[in-house]
Amino acid sequence: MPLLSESAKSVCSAAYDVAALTLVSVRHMGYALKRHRLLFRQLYEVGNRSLIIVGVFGLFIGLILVLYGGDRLQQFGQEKYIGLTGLAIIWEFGPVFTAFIVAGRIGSAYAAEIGTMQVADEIDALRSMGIKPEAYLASPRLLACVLLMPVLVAYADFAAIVGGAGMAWFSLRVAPSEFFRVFFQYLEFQEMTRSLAKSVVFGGVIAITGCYHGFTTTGGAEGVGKSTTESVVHSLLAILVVDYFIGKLLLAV
Amino acid sequence: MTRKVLVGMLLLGALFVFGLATFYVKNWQFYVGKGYQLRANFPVVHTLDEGDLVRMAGVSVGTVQELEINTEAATRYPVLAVLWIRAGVDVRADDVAIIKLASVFGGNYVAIERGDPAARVLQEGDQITRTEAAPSVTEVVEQSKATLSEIQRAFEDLTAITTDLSEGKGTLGRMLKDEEFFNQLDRIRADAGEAMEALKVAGERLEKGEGVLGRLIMDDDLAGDIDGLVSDATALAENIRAISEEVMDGEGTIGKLFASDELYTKLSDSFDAIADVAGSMQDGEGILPRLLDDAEMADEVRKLLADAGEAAANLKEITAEVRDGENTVGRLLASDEAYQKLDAALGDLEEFTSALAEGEGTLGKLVKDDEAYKQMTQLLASVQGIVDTYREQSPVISFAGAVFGAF
Repeated sequence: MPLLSESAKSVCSAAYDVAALTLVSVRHMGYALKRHRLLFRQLYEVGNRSLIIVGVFGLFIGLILVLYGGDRLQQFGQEKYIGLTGLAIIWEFGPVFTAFIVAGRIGSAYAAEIGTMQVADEIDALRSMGIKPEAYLASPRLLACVLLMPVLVAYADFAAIVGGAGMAWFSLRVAPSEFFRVFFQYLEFQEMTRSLAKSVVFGGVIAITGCYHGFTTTGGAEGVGKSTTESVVHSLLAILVVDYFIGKLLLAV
Repeated sequence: MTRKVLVGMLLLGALFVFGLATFYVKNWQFYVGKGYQLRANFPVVHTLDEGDLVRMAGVSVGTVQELEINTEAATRYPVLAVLWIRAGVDVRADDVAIIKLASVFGGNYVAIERGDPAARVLQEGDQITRTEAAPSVTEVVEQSKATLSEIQRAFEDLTAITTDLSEGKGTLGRMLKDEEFFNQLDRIRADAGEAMEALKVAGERLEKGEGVLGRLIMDDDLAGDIDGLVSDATALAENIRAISEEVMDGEGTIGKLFASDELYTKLSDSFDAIADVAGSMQDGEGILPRLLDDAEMADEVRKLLADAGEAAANLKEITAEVRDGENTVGRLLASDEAYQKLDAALGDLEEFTSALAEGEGTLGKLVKDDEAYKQMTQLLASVQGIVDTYREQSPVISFAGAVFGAF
């Protein structure tokens, strides 16, 4: 009887591949910076093309949180503290939901792009041209995600808090000034940095997961679809698991 | 097993260990710096946990590293807390470690409060000997409940008092509301003023030596007179007693007259002898011959004469003393000083009693003036009332004072 089952072996092998891909991508970040055209294209994709969806998403998160939170707080007559929902946005909702959007939009795109290249043997063609596919494909994507995730999270936070303040004004009659007074009274700079540090890691997780699933795509168009789906599922799972452990670590600091 | 699988397995194992480690990591920023450990035993730690802060004057200077409970040793301080203190922060031997509430919602921290600033600085592993545990949230809530109910009772009492006051009940209430009561008090005040005035006048009269009491107190001459009178009376009584004793003892002529029949016998005998002489003379017996012949008779006559002479001398002495005013009777006869003194004393007594009778002065008013008596009685009753009221009100006033003092 073998020491490990085949599926366990494949999990360990996948862990190795992910770690290797991460290391190679990080090592070739200099290449990505040099080939800035590649990088800017990715930055444009990740940043500009995501602004609207991230803003709308953030706005509605703010509205929903204040709607439900305000309803509960009103039962205790403490609706003036609705500004505290801004803290929940900073801590958790901003980074995690932005990561979910980016994973759905960008991570899946990475898996599909690279997966298509993989099934079309374009990756092998790059190799034959002496170009490292990880450096050419993964590094700019990783760098773009890592650089722009904090920006997107800050943007989403802003949209959510503005939406929340508006919702508080309309539904609870709590003035935006009171909303922001409570919010800034309890907000600490350390919490902002934690949130942004988390988003950097989320960006890396999304990019690596997407790229990994792209590079490991097999089986033609069907395989591309499968990789794309797996990429999104695994990204979301990884985001939540990493979020928990990062939260645990950052809170201890 | 391929190398790839092995490395992947190690990677996953490392991630698992790292994930597990996050459960045990807490406030590790203090542990990584330089510091030292101190030990402290507490009776109770409430909800204090490992990793909670140690604060000195509100500044966090360390964390609670370990908490152990020792149930075997018989001690009132069974919980041992190991405190990690940042290097450069000195905890001294006289400092107190107190477990305090972090907020009303719970949570605790260890506060180190300064004791003697000159005490020894504790080193690694030393024990903080002075420890306390502040009351927990539940205890605070329980205590505040009791305090609140006491305050509520106090306010109920105050409400009752103010209601009584506003309704004009009690002395204070009547003072606030009752015009008649105020008038009575005002009258008492006026009466007391008058009484004081009268006392003042009486005092002045006493000081001036007017009236019997005044003279008794102030007049030295009168005092001397009375003193003389008393001593004279004493001497008179002494003399009378001495005379009566002498009389009873049969000394002197009068005494002898009372006590002895010798003289009578002698006189009787003398008269008998004279009768005999007369008889003899009637009988033709001559006195002379008998005088010449009867020697016994001659002796008796001589003795009679001698006794008569002694009596006459005694009488002469007494009368001389009476005349010279030497004895009591003599003084009574010879000097009118005692008479004058008695007369004066009686005159003063008469003046005093007549003044009393006419109702002059305080005593006179007390005797004669019904109004003064009434005022005095009213004053006393009012004073008693005030004292009673104060006694009734004083616990309430004291308590109210304490309550307002507390605010």
